[in-house]
Amino acid sequence: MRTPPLTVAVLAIALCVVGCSRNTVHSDQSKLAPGQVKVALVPGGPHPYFQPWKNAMQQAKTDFKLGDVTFNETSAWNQTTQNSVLKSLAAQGFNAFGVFGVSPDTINSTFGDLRKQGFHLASLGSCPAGDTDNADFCLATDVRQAAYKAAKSAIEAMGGAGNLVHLTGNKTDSNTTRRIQGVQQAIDETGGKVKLIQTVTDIDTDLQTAQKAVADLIAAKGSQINGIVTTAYNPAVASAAAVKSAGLPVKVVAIDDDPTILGDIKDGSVAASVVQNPVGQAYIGSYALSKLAGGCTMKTSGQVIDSGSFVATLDNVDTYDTQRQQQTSQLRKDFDDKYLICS
Amino acid sequence: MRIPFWANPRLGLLVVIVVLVAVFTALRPAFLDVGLTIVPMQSDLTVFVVVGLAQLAVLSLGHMNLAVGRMAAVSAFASGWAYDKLDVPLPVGLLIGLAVGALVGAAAGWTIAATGVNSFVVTLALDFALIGLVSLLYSTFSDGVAFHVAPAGLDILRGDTFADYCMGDLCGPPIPLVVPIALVAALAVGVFFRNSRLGREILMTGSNLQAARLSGIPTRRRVIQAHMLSGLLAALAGFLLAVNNGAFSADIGGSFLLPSFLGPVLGGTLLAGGAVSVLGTVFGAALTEVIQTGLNLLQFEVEKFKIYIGIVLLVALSLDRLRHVLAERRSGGTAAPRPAADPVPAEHSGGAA
Amino acid sequence: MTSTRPTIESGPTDRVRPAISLRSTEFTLAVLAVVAYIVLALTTHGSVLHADTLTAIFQFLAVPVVIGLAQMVVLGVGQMNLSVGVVTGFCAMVTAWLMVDVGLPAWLALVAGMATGAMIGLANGLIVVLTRINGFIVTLATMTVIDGLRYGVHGTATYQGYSPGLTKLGQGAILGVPTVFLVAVLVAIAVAVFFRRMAAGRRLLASGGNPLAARLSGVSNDRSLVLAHLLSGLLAGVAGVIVVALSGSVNATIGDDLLLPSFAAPIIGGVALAGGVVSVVGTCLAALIVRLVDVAQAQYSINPDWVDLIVGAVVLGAVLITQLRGRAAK
Repeated sequence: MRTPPLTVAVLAIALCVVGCSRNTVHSDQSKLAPGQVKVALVPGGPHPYFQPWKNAMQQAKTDFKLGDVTFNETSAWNQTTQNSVLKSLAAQGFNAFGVFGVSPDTINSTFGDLRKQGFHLASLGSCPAGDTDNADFCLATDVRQAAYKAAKSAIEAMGGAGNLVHLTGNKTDSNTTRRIQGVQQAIDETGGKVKLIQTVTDIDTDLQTAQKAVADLIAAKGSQINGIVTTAYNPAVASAAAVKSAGLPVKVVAIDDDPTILGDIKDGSVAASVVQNPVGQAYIGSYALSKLAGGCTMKTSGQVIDSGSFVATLDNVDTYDTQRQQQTSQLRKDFDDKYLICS
Repeated sequence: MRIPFWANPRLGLLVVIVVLVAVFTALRPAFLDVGLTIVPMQSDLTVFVVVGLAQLAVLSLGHMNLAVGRMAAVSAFASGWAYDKLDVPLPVGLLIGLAVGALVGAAAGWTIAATGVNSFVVTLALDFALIGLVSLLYSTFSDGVAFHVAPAGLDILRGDTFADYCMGDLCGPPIPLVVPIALVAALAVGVFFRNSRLGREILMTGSNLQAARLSGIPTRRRVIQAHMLSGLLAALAGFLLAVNNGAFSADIGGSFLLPSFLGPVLGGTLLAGGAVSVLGTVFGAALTEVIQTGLNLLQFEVEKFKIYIGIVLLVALSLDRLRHVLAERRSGGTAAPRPAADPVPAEHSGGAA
Repeated sequence: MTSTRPTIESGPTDRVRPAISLRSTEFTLAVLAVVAYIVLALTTHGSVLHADTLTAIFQFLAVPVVIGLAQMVVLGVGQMNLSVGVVTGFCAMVTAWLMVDVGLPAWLALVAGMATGAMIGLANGLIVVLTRINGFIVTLATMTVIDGLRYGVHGTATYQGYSPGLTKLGQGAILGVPTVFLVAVLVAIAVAVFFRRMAAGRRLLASGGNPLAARLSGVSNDRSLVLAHLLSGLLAGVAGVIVVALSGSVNATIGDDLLLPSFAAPIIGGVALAGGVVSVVGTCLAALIVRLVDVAQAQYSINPDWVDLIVGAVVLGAVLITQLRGRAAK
């Protein structure tokens, strides 16, 4: 009673050693007309950053005459759930995926599985950790570069000298490691004029947690801090509000361009915000996926492409989007000219 | 207390699962897609069954293990480190992970037994301590927050099902290679609590500490052993998740806490201790997996998805409860007392047979 | 936790332990809090004595205290409420939504926010009683539902600038004490009075301590269960409006980090998981100690990796000391 599965397993393995063969699945990557391409965009979970994806995706559907598009944010920042969501969407007939992997360290295996089954994949917004990418390409913000730009802007706003604090997200996410490296690089370049007095991690889960952490920080070191660079959403909102209400001359650099952050730039409580290009990621990502499904191949599989990051300040708050749209057009041209091979 | 066979709680769960599968299949035929639904569901299920068993091991005492996820994370670190730095073969790394998990579990058990502090507090504190420790360990011993290693056999264990192995035209069923591992674990735990003296003594300790002590059971040692088993199973769950994910990373175990309770409690294991149901845990985990996958296929928006998952869970449980009440009426029993004060039915103990 | 369980002979009045007596958990916690604070004051050159720091400490103590009490009330009847965190978030979002999108005056929105919490608590209680499913599972299910509703209010976006008057009041102080902290203290007093002086409160603890005995002496356990869940929901609603008033901006992530702290405060404070015993003072002191750990992190710029390790050690240490003191007393 206790042993059957074990026996069966041992027996199966033994049999295999003796004589059974291992089947390997061959993916059939047949060419699809644009109308047959069904693109699913799957972010890591609900977050303001991904909201522009919805419209961009619909735009792509119209412009490139795609069969269907969908946006599914039910992954709830859990890799197991995201894997399940992706496979459910595949079972429902979606055949091309733009994915923001919850865990950069493990998303590559999921990409490998899906690609083996003949699906087309793009890592959008975040590239897998390590040197390889099992998706067809990665179209994302270079987070290290974006964090570097953010720290640079903060240092500039501080007048090139003083004490800086870095507030960021989940420390078990390798993107956080990259952000910390980016900020450190900017600090190192000042040759000791700017000191990083603290890096606070894991305060992006809950707005109240971020507010509490910022309040404690300002209470403890308010007089020493000259700048706060934030590379996660909740800490950015919390820092802007706390600095404004405390009336401190601290320069805050935020991330993204959610209406709340834009409002903070306009009222001066945020000195600058490093905005990314979610629209470009979703729009160009869908475009490239439809091309790949139509028979094109990537010149370099797993190519990493920077979707661009821009510094928005009070001066260019109304115009930075033009710059970003240019970048998006350029990205499409680059895909046609440089990254894709279409026969 | 004789109850008709159809009033068996495990059978009730099974019926609910079958009904849900039928409903989801009718709505979305893709629910029965072998490669994209059935196989991934089984892989996920193996992890959640073992996580549930890890919690069940201490629920048997009336204790809780809030550090179940971090125990898995520490063990996965140990395995990953062994693969990365020592190049050990797959089974050796697994054994190292299991040993670390058992050790951490035993430490938790020892603290609880020696101080008499509530298990909730001890494991909560341990959870916090381990979060920090895991992060420190990864930042010291790896280049980031994960070991990207693939010891020989890992990819096969991860991606293959028995259907990939054929003798002539005869292939195995579409069951992932990891499933037998969870099955063996479930059977072993079932046998442990049902047939072994040690397991029964743990259950007695859980149902009545004083009585157990008076009848000569070394209750402290039993507490330590139950927590050790919990740590061991948490380590196995961590290993299985790492295999499914393809990397040994710091975020392993981060989402284990609620599922660890869901499986056993849905399956009829009491929070109060003294009774466990291994088969129920398997069904409880299966129920949540079916609901999750079914709702995924229906493609709800995030807010609706969460609302429906809660409602389906409540309705399924209420139906099961209704069946239970009807059964009691039928057998002429009195009205059900408050669940927390439910007398422990003998059938509950060690239901894995 | 045998020392905290009441014996059957002790009357229901003994179930609410005296506020501060030597050798009690509360006394140990109070000593620990004072010692921790003095150490902080000495090692940070008096930074924590500064008015701004004190304000920050007590402003952000309000929510942990109230949420700890919300959990304590259901622990008192031997149940758990896993939905406290998301209910707090949902009530905060509803309150902000009523002010921004519906245009209700702030006071009405606050009342509605708290009422929302009470309604959810009532629903939890009724489901527990009607289906006889364990409260742990019921609230796990309703937690998922309310999590969905919380996102339904305003998606992932942030509400800001809803009521300058309310925010000013929430961030303000009366006689140097932050308003929100005063609210939390008033709530704590009300809860203490409920358990000590009111028949309903005592019946609730009687149901939690020994349901069979309570039923035999004419207490309706079902009513106790519903009341406990209702109060828990109401308190979570109060925590929600405190967040709205204090922070000036809310989004659907509010409440995600509250579940474990909601358990930590009462349990460290000496409340038994099995029911029948509550300690308002213990819960408040435990919340304060956890808060001081946060403050220490900011003051000493502790490497974030070490913080969790230290939190774990402090929590465990606090309980160990309590336990050893209890033993030494015997």
